Amino acid sequence: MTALLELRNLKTHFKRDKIDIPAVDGVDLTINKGETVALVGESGSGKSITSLSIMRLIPSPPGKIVDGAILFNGNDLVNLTEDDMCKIRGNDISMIFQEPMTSLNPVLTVGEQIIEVLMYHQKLSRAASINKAVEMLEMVGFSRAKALINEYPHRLSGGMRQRVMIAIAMSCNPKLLIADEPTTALDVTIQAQILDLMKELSVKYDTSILIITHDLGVVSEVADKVVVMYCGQVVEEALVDDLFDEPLHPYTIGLMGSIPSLEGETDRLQSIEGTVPPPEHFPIGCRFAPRCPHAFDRCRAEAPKLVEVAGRRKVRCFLHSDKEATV
Amino acid sequence: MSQTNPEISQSELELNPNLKAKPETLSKIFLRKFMKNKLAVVGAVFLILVIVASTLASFISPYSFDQVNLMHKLHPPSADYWLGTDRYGRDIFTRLLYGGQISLMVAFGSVIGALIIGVSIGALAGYFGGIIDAILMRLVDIVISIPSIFLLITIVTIFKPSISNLIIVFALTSWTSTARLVRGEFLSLRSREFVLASKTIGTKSHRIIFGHILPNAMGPIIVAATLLVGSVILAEAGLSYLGLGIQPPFASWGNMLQDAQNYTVMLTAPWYPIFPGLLILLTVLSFNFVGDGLRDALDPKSIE
Repeated sequence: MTALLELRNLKTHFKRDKIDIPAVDGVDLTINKGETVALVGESGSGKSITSLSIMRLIPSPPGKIVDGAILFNGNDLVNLTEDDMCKIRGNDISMIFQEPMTSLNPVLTVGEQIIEVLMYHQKLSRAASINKAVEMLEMVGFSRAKALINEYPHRLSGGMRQRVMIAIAMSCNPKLLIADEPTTALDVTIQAQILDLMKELSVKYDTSILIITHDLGVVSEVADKVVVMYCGQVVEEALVDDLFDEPLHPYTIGLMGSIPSLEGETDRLQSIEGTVPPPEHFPIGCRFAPRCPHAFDRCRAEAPKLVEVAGRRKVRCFLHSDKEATV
Repeated sequence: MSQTNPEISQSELELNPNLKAKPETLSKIFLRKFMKNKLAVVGAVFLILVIVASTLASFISPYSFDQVNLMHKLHPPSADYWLGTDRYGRDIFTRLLYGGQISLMVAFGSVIGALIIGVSIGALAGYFGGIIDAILMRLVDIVISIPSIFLLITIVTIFKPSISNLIIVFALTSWTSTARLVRGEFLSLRSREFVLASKTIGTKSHRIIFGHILPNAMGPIIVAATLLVGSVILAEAGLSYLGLGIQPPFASWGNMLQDAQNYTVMLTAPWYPIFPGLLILLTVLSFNFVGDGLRDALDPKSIE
């Protein structure tokens, strides 16, 4: 498989009161063609900033990509001009958001919002765009797409709006779809439908998906590969089965422990002690050390590196890098 | 997990049956809500009446606006002269209609000018923020700090007080409130998720400003414009009253009032000052009522 998107040591910092806040701190991430990668982590772990960095939509100032490369099909997006970026957004990489209720413009009809992308990127005529828009809406599961074109978003339910967002995002047949918590605001049955739809479209159009979520249920359902983030860094990266079979990083283990299981009797769900530290108070050593049940002296003094273990997965923890070293 | 999608949308349709009804366009919703406000409807009807009557002045009135008839000067209202005549025996009703043409033209022209300047500056400041915002808003502060009545008088004294000059002067002095309003709207709208969403499909800044954000800010802008029309009518009347507005023999509501400001005229022919004054009052009041009605009708929070 060839890499479609490759983040190399991506660092996105925010400036607040002259202090640099490393929201994304050296993230490496590879998404292959047709692959679905899940980016997992708590609030504040830098997932969304990573995705906005890929789109080059970090609010600037105060945000800035200070280091690293975003290789998309071999081109570094960091160096592109805003004009060139506009040609990529929506056409090669598109994005859907958490809140379908607010991501559509309330005063424009659904059709208008799809047509706009098509006319801009595909240079279609208005009539051709309308036909294509109807086609897209049918593809995301609307049976009365022709009538829907003239609807305003306030008349649609959350699930329907998210479908419209997917139709807009997929209308130019992008190579990468970034989905930022696409199902968090939806109820569970609609959630499953939206995930199925995304899965189906990604296979049909060979689109890679980067799905950002904190819901491990979603991860197990759609992802091929999982990247766990904590405090702006990748702490673990593994194929989805490996990760669920045997999580390595204590943080991942903690995340797994905090979801209820059907098998076995658990009286209480485990929780991870403490909270994510704010970026200005990151510890010197391992960023998870203050909350880690297995932390030892070295963890507090020295920052671990992301190392490859067992050949095909990576983890940022001395427990495993040491073990590898001693074995 | 593997239901086919068309069935799903059918079931969603059933959950949301009002979707089957013909979609109600935003303009229909707006009209329905506007009709609920009786004062605004009355105001709108009055304004339409004034605008139509002024436009058709030459068909409605048998007299011309400068037809002097000294035999009938200061004639009280009668069948021939519905609202009486002025000091030169000109029909007041006719002059009010022709004056309406000029007063309304000045008012609408100035407001359109003020909107173009105010919306552009407010939109740029609010959308881009930072240094652009700082510079443009200081410009607004400066323009607000200029005592506009003296500026008006100065400009009108230097350049001849013609309709186009009045429009330019009013536009240049009254755009600031619109600019501030639009900036505020843009500041809050630009961080909305749909703006980010439209950026992710590659929409360029100018399209986002004018195609996506501006339509969302139209409500408050229309309301402000309506109220501004009223205040420009007042300002024009004031300037004409000082003798710096529309020059005789052309009529404007303001210079008719000024012409009536004479001790004997006021005592012997009270209809002369009363009718232009009343018309100014009712027109401005109607604009304000309509403005209030628009505010309620266009408020997105009250969309059912």
